[in-house]
Amino acid sequence: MSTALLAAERIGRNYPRERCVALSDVSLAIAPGEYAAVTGPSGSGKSTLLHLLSGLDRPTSGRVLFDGRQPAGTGEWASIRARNIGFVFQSFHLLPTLTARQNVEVPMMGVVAGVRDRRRRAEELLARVGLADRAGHRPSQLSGGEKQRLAIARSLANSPAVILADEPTGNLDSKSAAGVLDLLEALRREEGALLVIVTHDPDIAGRAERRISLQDGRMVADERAAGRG
Amino acid sequence: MRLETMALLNLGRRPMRSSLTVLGIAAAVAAFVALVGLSRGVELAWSGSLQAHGTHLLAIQKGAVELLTTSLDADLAGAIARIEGVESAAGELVNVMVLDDRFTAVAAGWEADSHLWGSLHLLAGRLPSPAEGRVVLLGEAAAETLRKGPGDAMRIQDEPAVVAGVFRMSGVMGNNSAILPLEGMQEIMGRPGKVTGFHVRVRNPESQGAIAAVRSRLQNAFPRLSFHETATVADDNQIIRLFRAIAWSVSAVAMAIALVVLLNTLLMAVLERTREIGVLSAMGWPARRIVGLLVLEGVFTAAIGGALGLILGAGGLRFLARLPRLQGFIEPGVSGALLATVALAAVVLGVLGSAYPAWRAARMAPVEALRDE
Ligand SMILES: Nc1ncnc2c1ncn2[C@@H]1O[C@H](COP(=O)(O)OP(=O)(O)O)[C@@H](O)[C@H]1O
Ligand SMILES: [Mg+2]
Repeated sequence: MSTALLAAERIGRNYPRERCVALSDVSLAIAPGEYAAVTGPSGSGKSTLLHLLSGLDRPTSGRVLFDGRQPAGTGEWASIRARNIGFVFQSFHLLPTLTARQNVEVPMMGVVAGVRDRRRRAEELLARVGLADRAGHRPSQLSGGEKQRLAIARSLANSPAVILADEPTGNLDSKSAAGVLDLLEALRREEGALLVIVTHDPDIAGRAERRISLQDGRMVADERAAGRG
Repeated sequence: MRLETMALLNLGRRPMRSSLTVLGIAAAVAAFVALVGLSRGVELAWSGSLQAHGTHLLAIQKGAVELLTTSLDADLAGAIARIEGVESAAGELVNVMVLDDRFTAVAAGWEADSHLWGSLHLLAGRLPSPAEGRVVLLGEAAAETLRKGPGDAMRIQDEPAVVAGVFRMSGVMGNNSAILPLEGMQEIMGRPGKVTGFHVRVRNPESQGAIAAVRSRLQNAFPRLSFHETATVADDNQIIRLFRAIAWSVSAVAMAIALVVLLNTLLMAVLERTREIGVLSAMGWPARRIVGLLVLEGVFTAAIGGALGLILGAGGLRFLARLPRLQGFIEPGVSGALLATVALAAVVLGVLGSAYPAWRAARMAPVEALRDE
């Protein structure tokens, strides 16, 4: 437990007004560099778990620890996300007014001081995800696969120790999905980052070192396998 | 990329809405610049003309609401001049009159031995001799507008007069005015033996408190008159004070409307960008940077609107000051103080207009905005 980078201690999240329990009594410890897949049917609480693990949402019971301690509040969680957590979403969530390069710079604002340094780092990351020639394009000018590669570049902006990906291939055709997944796995290996990937594709889950299964907001399995990741 | 760049890109995404908001702010600022500039311009034109005459104290009838309606005996000049510390006192009969049926100007009547003649710089012609009644001296700008020179005949109200000379004076009011011998002016106005006020010059005006001391001495000696120092004469005048109050209150209403327009625009922008704000939060942006982004958008909008309004307002003021009916009553131009006030107002407007929308944005729950479904 002491080696865990990200830990949940009996966390639950309910919505009393809707009388809905999104997540209940989940305990979990993920070590640095670990590759875990979270599976489960739609509505089983996968996204809720990711949001709680990153401080975007607060558990209604239990607690979440980052690097062994419980962050004090919204401000501390924001700073942890800025420096240590990269997000990849199913529907990309890129900022439409900004170019690809500027999108990658967004997480660096307030973290990397120099304007030039931000720019250089963004260009370097775009090259790593194969979008060097798309730096000046806006998200609307990119294909689905390119958008998700851009989002991956953005998630790596501050070299986070944690990458959280919520169904990153859910909106992609199988060919670009495979490309995006290969890229994500390769980069997390290079960076040595902890990766939690939410998916309901068993093939994808099979590539992870660890599989966490949720059902109706409860953890029904937590298995380690000899994954390729 | 800087935060400022991001704010400008956000404004650029709804060009029509942003431009309309900028225009709304510009209209308010233009009204402010034109109205306050107009009121300041009138004060400056008046106090400038007194300064040009070398007047230290202006004596008018006590309780008179309007300078031009006061009526005093011209003979009082001698008694005023005998008070200790007074160098000279010159009676003046002033009215606003129509020259040649088309040009509205300040016309003044001066006594033949008045010190006031010394403030004119004669460009052409001559000063009137004591015996002459119906002669007139025109300020440079008035002569130009009327196309009159020495020897030309002209009409003052309905009375005929001959131009004796053309003079120059500092300040718009003087250069747009007409000067007559006092008797001629009294005749035209039908107020024989009367003046509207006295220009008082003080001995050693530079010495500390000299003017104020003479003023209180005069005030004691002539309780039915009121004496005003040149610098504060505009402040003391009820009509000018009223005009100033109107200018400021109309401007304040215009600014309040601009504030609501800006508030509405930014609130709409925040509500339609909940998802993006959620993304910024997921990227680890602290609330204060999200607030900063929106406040910048507000301040930029207000600054652009303010600059545009300043140009429009200054142009409008210049136009008004040139109108034949107003020429000579307004010192045109935007003062540094007015410029600073506009700049400050724009920043305050931007911050106030974005404060609530920014607070709403900072308070939004990111997870709600980020739902993929
Ligand atoms: N804001 C909310 N209000 C009420 N119920 C919610 C809210 N957000 C999520 N839920 C419920 O919580 C459960 C888990 O949702 P989610 O974590 O998004 O599932 P998954 O990502 O596995 O599809 C669902 O039943 C969902 O309807
Ligand atoms: Mg989900």
